[in-house]
Amino acid sequence: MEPAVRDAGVEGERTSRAPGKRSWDEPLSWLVVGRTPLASHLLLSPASLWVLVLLVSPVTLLTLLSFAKIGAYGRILWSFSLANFGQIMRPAYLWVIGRTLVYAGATALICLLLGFPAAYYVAFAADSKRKHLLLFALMLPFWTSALVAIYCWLIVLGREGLINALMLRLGILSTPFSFLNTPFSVILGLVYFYLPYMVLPLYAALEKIPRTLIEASHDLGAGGLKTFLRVILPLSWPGVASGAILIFVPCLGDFLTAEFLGGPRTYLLGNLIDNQFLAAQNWPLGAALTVLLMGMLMSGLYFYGRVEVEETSRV
Amino acid sequence: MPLTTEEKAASKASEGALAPLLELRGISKSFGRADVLSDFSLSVNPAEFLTLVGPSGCGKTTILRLIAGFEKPQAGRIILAGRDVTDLPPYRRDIHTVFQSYALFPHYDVFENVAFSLRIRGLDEEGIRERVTEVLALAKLSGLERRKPDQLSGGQMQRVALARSLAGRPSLLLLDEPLGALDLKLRREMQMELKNIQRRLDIAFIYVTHDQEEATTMSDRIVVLNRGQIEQLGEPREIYEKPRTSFVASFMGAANVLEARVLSSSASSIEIKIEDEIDCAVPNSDSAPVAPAGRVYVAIRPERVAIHAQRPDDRTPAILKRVQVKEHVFLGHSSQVYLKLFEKSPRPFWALCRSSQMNGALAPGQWVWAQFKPEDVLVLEPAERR
Ligand SMILES: Nc1ncnc2c1ncn2[C@@H]1O[C@H](COP(=O)(O)OP(=O)(O)O)[C@@H](O)[C@H]1O
Ligand SMILES: [Mg+2]
Repeated sequence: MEPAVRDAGVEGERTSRAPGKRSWDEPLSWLVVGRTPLASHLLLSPASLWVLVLLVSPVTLLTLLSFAKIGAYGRILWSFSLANFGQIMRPAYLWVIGRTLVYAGATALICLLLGFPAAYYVAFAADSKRKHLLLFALMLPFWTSALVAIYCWLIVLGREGLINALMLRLGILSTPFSFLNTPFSVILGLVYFYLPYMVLPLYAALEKIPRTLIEASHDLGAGGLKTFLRVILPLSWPGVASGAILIFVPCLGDFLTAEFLGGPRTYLLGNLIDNQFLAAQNWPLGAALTVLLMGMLMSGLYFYGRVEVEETSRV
Repeated sequence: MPLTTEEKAASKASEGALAPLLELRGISKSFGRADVLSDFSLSVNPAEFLTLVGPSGCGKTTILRLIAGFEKPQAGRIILAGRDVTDLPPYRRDIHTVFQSYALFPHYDVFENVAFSLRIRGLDEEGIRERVTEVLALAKLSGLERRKPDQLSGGQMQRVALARSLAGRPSLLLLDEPLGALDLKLRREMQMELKNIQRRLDIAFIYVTHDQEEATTMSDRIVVLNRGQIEQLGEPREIYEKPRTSFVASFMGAANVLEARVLSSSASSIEIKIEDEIDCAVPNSDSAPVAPAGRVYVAIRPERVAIHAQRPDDRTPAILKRVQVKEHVFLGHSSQVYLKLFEKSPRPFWALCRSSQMNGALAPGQWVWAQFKPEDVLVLEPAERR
């Protein structure tokens, strides 16, 4: 870990010194922009253009918008005001932000608890034929439309849904119970959508553990549980961290799940933004919320990057 | 579980003699349709250095994995210190293994790797530190406590693997070609150290190698394996001097394996005709005489064959023959000389000579005198008809 950081420092120094050292007497040296020849810039231009149009400009626009004011009928008055960010700090909005963090964290945790045994089974217990089948099954939710899946959950969880029908028939319930519009249904939906993001990195991490290490642990007197805690779990830590961040980050911005399976009391940050842009027609406030969300996503990804760096420097 | 009378008698009998530490009784093991071991039995004494040696694929690793508990035999029992451990998992057996790949835990440093089995047993912190320090000193690793495995050289990793399995003080240590990945010089060094550590700690070692020299220098007893069968079991000198089969003779050191016809045999000597050309009377080492007119294999060690330019004068009984040189291979301090000892036999025959005793190179076709003693002709198993 340390050497990586030190290398980065050296790299940075070299970059910052390079323009000063450039000799203008060298022929064609004007072709070099920064440290990269102009030709490379030209070759990269489609990609650069892509990033410029689709990433940099909307983000810039959003950021500018977040400092604007709202006029009558949703008119945007360009200005530099922090009023929108002040408004976000009101309890009603903070509640939603807090709820979003809690739901995202809970989803990541539940996915970890459900995903670990699954990944463990696929990596260690299944024979190779069944392994491929199980991995395929794990990928399936990626290929189903989110909307279709959500409607399926509506059918299963609804007042006239499968679960209620079954429980009424069995006499467990006397009146239908509303599973929808509860934290339960929203988190269930999130877990359903994001579980593969936990299982796959976990599986990859577990698969990489040499089997002789597990044999060595047994050989030295550790039974199943102790081997799990002292060898398998520490060695699968990169997978746990990757999975948790891969789930936590997109959960912060998710709005479909809460829109359909939840209600006003389970709305998340994504729904709030959706609401400001469409229903409330308050684009500047929506933009400020988006900037906040982006800030949270960036810090999440930053930690993910740190884990990745640690993992690669360990290998 | 109450003992049957038979088992009681068996345990009584073994109490009188040296009770074996480990016994394999009639072990059979196959993977799918491939039989690796069938009805394999072996017993290991306490604190002995036993080496399993044999060609690659003969089942050495399988035997160790059965003893360690990573594999279950299809038949037979494994008895450790008088207790049947056949159905116990590896972590319930008082046996540790040094893996060929070392299998060090990459997320622990040297200290924690060595402390692993002690922590599992719940030793207190003070006890762990004491024991680990002691074992690290024994393995000459002091000062490397905080290194991670990926910061160690191959030799150091090997030492950590050894220290880790010694820390728990098992009664039996299994080593599967532990020096296989080291270069020759380091191997020789480690062989001496391993032997010293084994003597000092009074732990029984079962050591696997395919290197006959390694087996010979380190072991108290050697088990020569071929295709899952014990070809011969004995002390290194015995295996070298009295090989019982042509496989043992050629695997444990070099040997010229020839075919011979038994002319007559008595309790003290056997009269044979080697490759239908050379008559000689060799001492009968086994008291059971070989049936006359049977065919047997015999072995002559190349280093026991002397080559002379002139006919030697000494009158000691020896087989002496004027032969033509086929080829002279210079190996440095010694030389291989291939000889045309027999007119008809296709089998190669060579002598190993000290280079310093030879005056220059021998040219192919040159005539010399070859000499060996009758007692250096080792009579082996009966030859199969072909
Ligand atoms: N897990 C296994 N599955 C199938 N065959 C195996 C397995 N382990 C060993 N064998 C076979 O058993 C034989 C003996 O192997 P092994 O004990 O590793 O030999 P050695 O260690 O003497 O080289 C080999 O033919 C090998 O192919
Ligand atoms: Mg092997």
